[in-house]
Amino acid sequence: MSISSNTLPSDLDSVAAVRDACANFRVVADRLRQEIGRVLVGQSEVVDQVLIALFADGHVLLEGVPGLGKTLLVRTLGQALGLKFSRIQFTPDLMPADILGTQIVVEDQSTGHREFQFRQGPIFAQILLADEINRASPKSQSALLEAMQERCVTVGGETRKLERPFLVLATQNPIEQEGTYPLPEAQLDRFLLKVIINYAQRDDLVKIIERTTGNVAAEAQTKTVLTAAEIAYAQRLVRVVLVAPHVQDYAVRLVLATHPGGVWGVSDLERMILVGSSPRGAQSLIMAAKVRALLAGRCAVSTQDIAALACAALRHRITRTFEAEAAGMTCDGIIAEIVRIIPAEAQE
Amino acid sequence: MANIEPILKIVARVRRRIALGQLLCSMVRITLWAGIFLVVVSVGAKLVAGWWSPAGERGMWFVTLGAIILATLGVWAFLSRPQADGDVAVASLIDVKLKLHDRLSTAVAVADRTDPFAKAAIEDGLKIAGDKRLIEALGRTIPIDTPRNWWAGPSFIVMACAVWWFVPGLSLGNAQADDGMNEIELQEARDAAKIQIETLQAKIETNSELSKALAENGQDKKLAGDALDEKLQTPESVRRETTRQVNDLSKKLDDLLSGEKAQQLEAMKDALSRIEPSKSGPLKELGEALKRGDGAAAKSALAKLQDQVKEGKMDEKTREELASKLSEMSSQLKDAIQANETLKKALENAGLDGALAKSPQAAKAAIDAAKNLNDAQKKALKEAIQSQSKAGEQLEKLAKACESMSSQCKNGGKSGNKESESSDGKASKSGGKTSKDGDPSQGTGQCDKDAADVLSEMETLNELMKDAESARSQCQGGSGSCDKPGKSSMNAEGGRGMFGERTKEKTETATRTRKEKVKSTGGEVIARQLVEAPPVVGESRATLQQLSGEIGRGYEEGTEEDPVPANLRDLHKHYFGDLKKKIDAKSGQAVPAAPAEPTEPMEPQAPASPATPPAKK
Repeated sequence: MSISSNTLPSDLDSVAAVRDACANFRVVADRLRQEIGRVLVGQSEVVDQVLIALFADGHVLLEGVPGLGKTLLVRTLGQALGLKFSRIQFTPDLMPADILGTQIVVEDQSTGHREFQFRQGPIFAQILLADEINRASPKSQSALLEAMQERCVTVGGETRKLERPFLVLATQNPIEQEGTYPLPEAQLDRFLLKVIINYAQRDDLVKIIERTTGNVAAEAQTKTVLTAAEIAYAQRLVRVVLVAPHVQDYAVRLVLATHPGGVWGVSDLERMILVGSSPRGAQSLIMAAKVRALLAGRCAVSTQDIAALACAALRHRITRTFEAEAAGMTCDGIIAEIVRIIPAEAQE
Repeated sequence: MANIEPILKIVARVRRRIALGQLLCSMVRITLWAGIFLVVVSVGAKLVAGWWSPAGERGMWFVTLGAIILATLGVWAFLSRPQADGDVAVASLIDVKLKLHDRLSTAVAVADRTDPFAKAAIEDGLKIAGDKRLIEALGRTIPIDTPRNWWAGPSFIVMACAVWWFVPGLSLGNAQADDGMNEIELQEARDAAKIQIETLQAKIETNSELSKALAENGQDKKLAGDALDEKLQTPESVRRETTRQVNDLSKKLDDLLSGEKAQQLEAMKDALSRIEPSKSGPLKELGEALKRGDGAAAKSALAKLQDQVKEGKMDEKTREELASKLSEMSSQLKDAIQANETLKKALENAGLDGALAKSPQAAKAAIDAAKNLNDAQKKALKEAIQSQSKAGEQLEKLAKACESMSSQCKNGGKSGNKESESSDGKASKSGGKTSKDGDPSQGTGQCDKDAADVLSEMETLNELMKDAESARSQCQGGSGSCDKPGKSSMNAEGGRGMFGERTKEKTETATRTRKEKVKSTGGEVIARQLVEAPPVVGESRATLQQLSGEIGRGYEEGTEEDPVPANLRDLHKHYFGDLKKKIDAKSGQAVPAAPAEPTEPMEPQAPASPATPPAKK
């Protein structure tokens, strides 16, 4: 990967500046973590992965049973970032216009002139919480496609840009199947990471109970610790983080290993995978790994960053075969096996 | 390009360690294969004698082959050795082993870049490389391990040496190793054959008559000549040749024992066994010897008696008694000749008249005319007639001698040819001839001499047959050991049959699979169904289509009453959907079975079939 100096932020012209930028990134991320941690107890890995998606300019699909703090996390993040936040509760009767906005007729009282005026929908925000996204019909779900990929919305023949940064945090419930519409692969592919939210640990649960059932007057107020401009700078910094060729090759080998019948496929797992990861999987893996390296205070990505994020970046891009489902092999299991088999050492 | 010398030194150090480990692995692999080869050679040498002889030509072949295999393994190990990894690969290995987040490998990979991030990465790498704890950590995480199972190769070599030096040879599979028999075994086989044949030869040569008789039958005296021929280079061929010659000899002895002379001797013995010797007096010894068929004893008794008669020392009464008994013995001999019981039985057995035995010419004509006899039977009968004739002639000479002695006794020791002449026309003819020569005592002497010749010939034939029988037994004993290894009386090695190591010939065998037509009835009950109808008995039958419908209904009812867990719903749909499709496809291909119907009406007291329980009312 060659990086020309003109892609660097203008102030990163020396090693010291790079180190400062990386250190600052880490400090800011820590502050953000702390601020979220004041409201949300535990789930530090989930918070890290959401922050990774934020700085990598990607979107996150959160999956977990109700009551694990998905919505609270997103709302708290919105408050901590000082960004425009909106929430859409997806229901089966939700229409695309309810998401994107619609044209209404407006009459000028003074002149009596009538004209169509566009009223923005909730998508015109910087942090969008798409709650229970799999409850809406595919038609409504597809309304998000253009916004997620192009960062713009086309209504009535007019395309409107969305304000940057734009982060979609969608949630879905894994257990309810009745009346749900599984997300199409095209839409799933547009999420940078799919984050699984697990149950709270014992200590975390104790803290949650103390905070929510004790004699506490009100919920802690979240301070804004990061502005939109700082986020934009951080996103540019992420793009210039160093990825050595052999580290990039490792990510590529992991993604190729998910392709059934491919030259680099793992023979033992071929019968488990119906559809492998798209190139977006490799892109997501590298971008997320870059952020992870910066969060760790490093200026270069390592294979460990890639391996650590392989599940989150690839689990929603793999379709299992019937045989794998019958055998109880999850996508995470398949990816973990691939990570175990593919050597992290550089291959000549 | 940035100076990353400290990193490259570490990389070179690790590369040396890796190379050393690979070398050890290759050595272990080669040692393992060499050990296996040596074990195979040493075990093979011990199991099959002659398969391996280090000094022999085959041994040299094995040594050469082993050397070639080892050299090939060495070349293969050299060529297939992993190529030396690049700096990045080795640095990456160090990073992974020491969990250095690819700092060293990234530094090496971006050493030629000048952007600030690359410089920062190189600085990070150099910082890590400068840490003294890194060298210690390398020793722990990338050790020069002795390969697993390194002991296997040396163990095999030790095992091969132990087998070679301490395990005695078992010589299994010797019979199959014809080509591998060495000179010692060939010589042993030749020696054994020589002993066998020389023993037989000595046995035959002790009896000149037997030797002569066999020579007449075309038997070569030099039995062992061919068996020890230098052209026979394998022990098995020597044994085969010896066995063939011994069998030929045995066959010739068989011919001799069932031939004309044997039949003649048998006929004479049979006739003599019919005489009744006197129980006392000077003729007792001769009579008993003749009855036994003992030619030597009879000859001796006859000579003794003739001496007594010639000396004339007997008193009158004794002489008269002796003359009477000699005359009686002569009569018995003539009767026995006339009776010809042996030939009579043979003719009767052949379906001919037994009375023909008295007339050989008539018997021959009858045999020729007989339609129920084949050529071999006719020939055998004619040979019997011939033998019988010769035996009759011999016995007649004996009878004549007895008669002559009787006359001498009556004449007080002088020759008396008159009686002899009157008693038998044939004898009188010869006696007349001698009388015409002028000396009557010469006729009596001729009779005595003929009698002595007859008894001598009988004695000779007896010995001949005895020796032939003995030799034949010996031959058959030797041949018999061919089939029973280790039981030969001719065992030269003690415990191993001389001819007991024949090669096993492969016989043609085959297996034929035949499927019998069977009628299948009954079977396990695989489903039960309540029916709203009179109970029926008998075999329950249902079409696949009915089952398909039942399955579909059962699935729907089941999922309504007890919803399938969400994560298993697809599985259920897939399974039951596929099952119905498969049943429908099968029903489309196969002829559907007959619809369920009772095979016989229900008897009032008949118990219901387990397959169709009574309807619920």
